[in-house]
Amino acid sequence: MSVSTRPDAPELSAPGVSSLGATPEPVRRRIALLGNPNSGKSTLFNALTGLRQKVGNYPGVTVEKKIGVCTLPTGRRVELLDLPGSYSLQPGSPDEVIVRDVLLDLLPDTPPPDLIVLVVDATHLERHLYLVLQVLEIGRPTIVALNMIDTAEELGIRIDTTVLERRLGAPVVEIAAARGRGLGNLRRLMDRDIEPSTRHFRQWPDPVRQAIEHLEAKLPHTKHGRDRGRRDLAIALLLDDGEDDALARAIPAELLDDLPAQRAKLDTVDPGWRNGDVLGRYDEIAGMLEAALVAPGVLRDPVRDRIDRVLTHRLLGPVIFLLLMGAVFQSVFAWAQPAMDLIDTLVGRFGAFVNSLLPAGPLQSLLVDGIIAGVGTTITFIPQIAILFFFIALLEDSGYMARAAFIMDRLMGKVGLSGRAFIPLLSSFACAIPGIMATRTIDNRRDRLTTILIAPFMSCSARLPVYALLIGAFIPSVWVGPVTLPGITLFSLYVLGIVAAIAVAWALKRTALKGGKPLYVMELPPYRMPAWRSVLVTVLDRSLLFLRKAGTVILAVSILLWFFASYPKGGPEATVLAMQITTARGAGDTAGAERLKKELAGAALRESFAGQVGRAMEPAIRPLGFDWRIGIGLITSFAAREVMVSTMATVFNLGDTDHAPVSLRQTIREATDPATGARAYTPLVGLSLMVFFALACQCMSTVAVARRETNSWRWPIFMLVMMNVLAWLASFAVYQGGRMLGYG
Amino acid sequence: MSAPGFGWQDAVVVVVVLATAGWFVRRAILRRRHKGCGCEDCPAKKNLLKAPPRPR
Repeated sequence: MSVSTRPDAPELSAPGVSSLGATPEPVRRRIALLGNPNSGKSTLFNALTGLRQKVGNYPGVTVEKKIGVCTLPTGRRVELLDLPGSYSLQPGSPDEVIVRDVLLDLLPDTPPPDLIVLVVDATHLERHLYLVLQVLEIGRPTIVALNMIDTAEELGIRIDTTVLERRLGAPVVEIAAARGRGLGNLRRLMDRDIEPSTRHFRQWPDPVRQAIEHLEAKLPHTKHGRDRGRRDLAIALLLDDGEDDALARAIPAELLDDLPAQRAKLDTVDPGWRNGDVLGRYDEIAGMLEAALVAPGVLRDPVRDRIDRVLTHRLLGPVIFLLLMGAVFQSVFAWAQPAMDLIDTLVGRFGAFVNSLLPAGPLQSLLVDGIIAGVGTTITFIPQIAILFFFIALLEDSGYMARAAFIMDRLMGKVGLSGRAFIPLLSSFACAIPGIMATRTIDNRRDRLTTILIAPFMSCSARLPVYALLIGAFIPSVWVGPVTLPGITLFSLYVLGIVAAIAVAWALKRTALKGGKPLYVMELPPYRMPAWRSVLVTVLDRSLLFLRKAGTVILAVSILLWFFASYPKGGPEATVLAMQITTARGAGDTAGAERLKKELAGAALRESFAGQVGRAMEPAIRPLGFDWRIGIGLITSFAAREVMVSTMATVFNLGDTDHAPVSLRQTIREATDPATGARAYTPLVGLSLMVFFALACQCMSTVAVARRETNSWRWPIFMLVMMNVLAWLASFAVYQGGRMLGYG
Repeated sequence: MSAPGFGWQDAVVVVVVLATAGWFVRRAILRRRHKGCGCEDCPAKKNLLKAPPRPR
């Protein structure tokens, strides 16, 4: 490596690095973390950078490039890249394409790393060494980090690193990233100039070698001028049958046309020429392991096997999964209540305090009815979000979620989806955006599209406050066996989303996205004691994300909504009422004046901009049991679903003249129809609204991400229309069906 | 709610509402300019590597 090693320089200039164009611009050394899925790259990334990247005890957690800065022992700072997990450099899925493209220098905006740290699971050396051999052949400086060495030792595995180093031609270091073991050695190695390995691990048969050389000779010189890089590009071109964007861009058009002929020629000589590469590498790996590895004959853990037999049992497995999830949702309600009540009281008192501080006027109303009611009510739901993510992180970290994916594979197979879709769908319970991005691990295009389209059906954390508000308002806290009715309702809403997703996937896989069920091979990770730090980091991150949203989008929407719900003033109905109030006061009728004041507040809201929009859409939502006030909430929730809660708080506060600190749940429960004076919302309306929220696509960010990931507007628009039509129909069925049965 | 005339509270409210509306407009322009391109300054998604779906 020809980079400067000034120990005190945080930014490294790169004089003499001809590949970088010899410009004096300071360039920070880039180190990439690479390895198979679930080898602990993100854990190592977090340990080296001090960042809090999402980690999980299952494959496919990282699908993007993550960048952090790491300080080495000499004090110099380097840029650390956490790349998605990859099984080989012949990519099968979009996230694996990223890894291949970065290493082969095919991305114009991402230069290849100056050093690669290959993270290898020491307990599965045989499988992980495959990628190691491929990467070393590229000829970039590489360090091999044997991660989870502690677990390997517990299993009785001994690895002779000196022998392994000699065979690989690259430095090998033992680490346990989760415990911080060996990181000092790794940092010291990262600080040194590492020579690239010169080893070639497999011999191509003559016809293949000739085809590679033929292609290599025709390839233009890469911008970094690496001849070995050109050879790897030639191999990638020859082996990759897919029409690959980045690869296609990297070569002249005539060479691209020549490729099928080259492959066809090889097919006639030896139909199995592609497999020769794989088999050759595994022969090499077998030889290495024989020399460097001492392992007990049986590497199975009998306790783990017994637990697996129960948790992944055909009948018991799903039952345990359902029970666990039921317990989680029950806890979300039961444990969060005291904290929620406390926040609710504090927000109410703060509102009353501000109310008393300022004289009556628009600013007082903006602060109390708009900002404090809107944002304050939304943050009441933080305890529930924290508890839900505490359990999800616990289940992920322990290794249980991978078993859940295994169980779900059977179910998803029946609708034509592979178990690979489970992780993206699981991520969607937090938010559909990372969920949709996680579909990059799915290699089959039709499967990937189907998963993108159904991901927003999973109840995301933004729906939770809305569910919680409506359940709190309408569902009585009655014990049904060991759980309460609110817990059952919440669980049912999550199940409803899953059932809808499965039904839509089933329909899509039989019509527009028809295709066979792909084979899914998943590595079941070992059971681990959850790393409490990582669990708490998840909880903290999710809560802070929610708070940040409350402080930005929700705050801004609350302010604008307050404006639209307060103006224009002095509509015809409000003017008449204002005159009647004056008359009543003049006649000494205080009670009458108070009653008229309430009517005036309701009339002002009805005649406001927001009220007019709500009333305009009322005919479309009336069959679902919703009035114009809910209509306003449905519109504003397109900014973010949680905004529904703040909207309700603002709308009901503006329509209320006495600012007594009453919870929004109680206000909604007791709300009356201004026209008839009757109870506005029955439990049936609440249920209908919950069903609507469970199924509707109301998140613009989700639509935008789906647009980016599918590279077209067709599918996101289909998703938006399909989900909202489905939500309307389901709500209609619930409300009208309920009325026919005599409820509500 | 129906204070006559234009007082100091109205003035503050106008400033706050306009600033909020401006914030939304700025956010929309930034998002439109970047279209989730994935560059370091991209407001839609920081740190995302551009990875268009692989056509088959």
